[in-house]
Amino acid sequence: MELREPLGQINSLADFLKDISQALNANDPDFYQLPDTAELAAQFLLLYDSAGPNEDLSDIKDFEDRYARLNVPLANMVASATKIKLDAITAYMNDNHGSLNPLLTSTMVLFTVQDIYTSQGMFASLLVSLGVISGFFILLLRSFKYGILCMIPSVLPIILTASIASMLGIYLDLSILIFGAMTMGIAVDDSIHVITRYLASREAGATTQQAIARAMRESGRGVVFSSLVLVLGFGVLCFGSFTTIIYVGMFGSIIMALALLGDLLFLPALLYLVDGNGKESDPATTDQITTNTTSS
Amino acid sequence: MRYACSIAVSMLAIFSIPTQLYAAEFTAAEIMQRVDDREDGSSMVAEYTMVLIDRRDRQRVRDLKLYSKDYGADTRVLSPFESPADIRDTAYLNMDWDDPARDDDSWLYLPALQRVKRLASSDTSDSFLGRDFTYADINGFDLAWYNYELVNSSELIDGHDTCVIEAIPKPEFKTLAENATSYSKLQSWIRKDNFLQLRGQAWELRGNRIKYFTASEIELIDDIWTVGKLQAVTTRNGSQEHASVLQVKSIQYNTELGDEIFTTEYMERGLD
Repeated sequence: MELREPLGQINSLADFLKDISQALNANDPDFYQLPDTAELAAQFLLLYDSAGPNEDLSDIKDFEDRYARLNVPLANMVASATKIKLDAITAYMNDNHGSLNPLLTSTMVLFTVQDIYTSQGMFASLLVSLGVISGFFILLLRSFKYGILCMIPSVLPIILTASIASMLGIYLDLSILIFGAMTMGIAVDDSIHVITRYLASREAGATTQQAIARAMRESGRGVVFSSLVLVLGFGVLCFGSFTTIIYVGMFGSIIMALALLGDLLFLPALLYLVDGNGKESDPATTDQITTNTTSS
Repeated sequence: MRYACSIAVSMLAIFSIPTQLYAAEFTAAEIMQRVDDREDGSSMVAEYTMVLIDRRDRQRVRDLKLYSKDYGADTRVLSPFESPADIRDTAYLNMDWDDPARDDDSWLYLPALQRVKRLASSDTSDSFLGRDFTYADINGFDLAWYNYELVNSSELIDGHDTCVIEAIPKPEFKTLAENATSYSKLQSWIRKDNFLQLRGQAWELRGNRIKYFTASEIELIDDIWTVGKLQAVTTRNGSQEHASVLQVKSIQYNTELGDEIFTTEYMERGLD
């Protein structure tokens, strides 16, 4: 059965009863079978209670013999894969033994549900913060175009880092997701510096090229220093002994370093690409650009 | 020689001691000897109910009969289940030998299989009929394994003066006693006027568990002091894990019981 593929040996009260049956019949494997009657089953259990080891059966049946537990060993998998497996088990039990009101329990079920629930929550909050930050940019810069542009160097490093993590086979757990939402807020910092300088220059009448050059000159040093401090600050966490902390430090450094590169290389290139040779600006600069182009 | 005061079956019956004997005049070991020496009749037929109670106070009730007969210093006990229906006529047979070198012989008869199953007698610390009473609690163990100390010479319980005696295994019997009982230490509350044990407390070797035994509904029946209700509570780290209550419904002493009752063949033939 495909359902059973990655499952271990399922253990239940039935196995105990079969064991007892075999033990009572000179260990003959032919008697490894369930008792025929309820009386025999009850007497087997009484015998086990009376003669068995001190451990009782409370982990596989309840006190009043009304509920039994099937222990289904499952390999450790990522939450999404575990969820698929658990859903398959639930569906199988409901289809075949629905009248018994089967119910999944265990910490694995709990953690899987929790993981999926919180991961979905974190993903939603990541999107919300993306929307809110973009909204503020658009308001702040009074431009839809620049607001969105400003987001790109902040969001891209997070996506890139997540890709690196999954390439390295590191599963993105809850703590790393929380961290992803946090870093977005930190990484937008530098973009704001660059883009406000750029827009100020443009308003003052500079060409795209000139405005970019001025933004780099004025904010570049500050941007590099603050990013360097963040990279080193997060980098220290790599020396921790708790894996989650190490990942947070590692990914934090990578995100900050990529954000710096994004602000210094990607954002200017993007601005140049979008604003082109600045034809949308006032005619004076357009002329200048035109002369520049013709002269070159 | 058995530490018969310990619990359950042997605790059901106690002989009245002449009142001129005062417990205070004895050493702790002598008091335990008196407890052990009580006359409890040469035979007994009783009907009793065993209630098993779990941590959440859910209960399972089992009705049993009990036949007991002395063979000199040896004792044979047959205890068939009356209810619930699915284990009716399942029976437990035990032969308790006075010779300390000889282990008890025990069998369980399963009517649905029509077969008698011998129980491993070496595991006397295993539980019997639930988890609070062990075979050792029921059948007793050797008085000579323990050192006794009078912990408290007077404590009032239900209006009766008792003395509290602590039993700790002698070094040379430590392994033997601990294997047989799974207890590291025991305390007994003994009534001074009739050497009846009113309370017991046993410290388990494993799991930080302590068992509390309480005897109540005490009556003089056929000149034998009889405990009508015996409660055992197992606690772990101070909170109740499970409990058992043994309630006597009827009891008769010194009735005629044929030897054939205490055989595996008798169980197989049917008990009625």
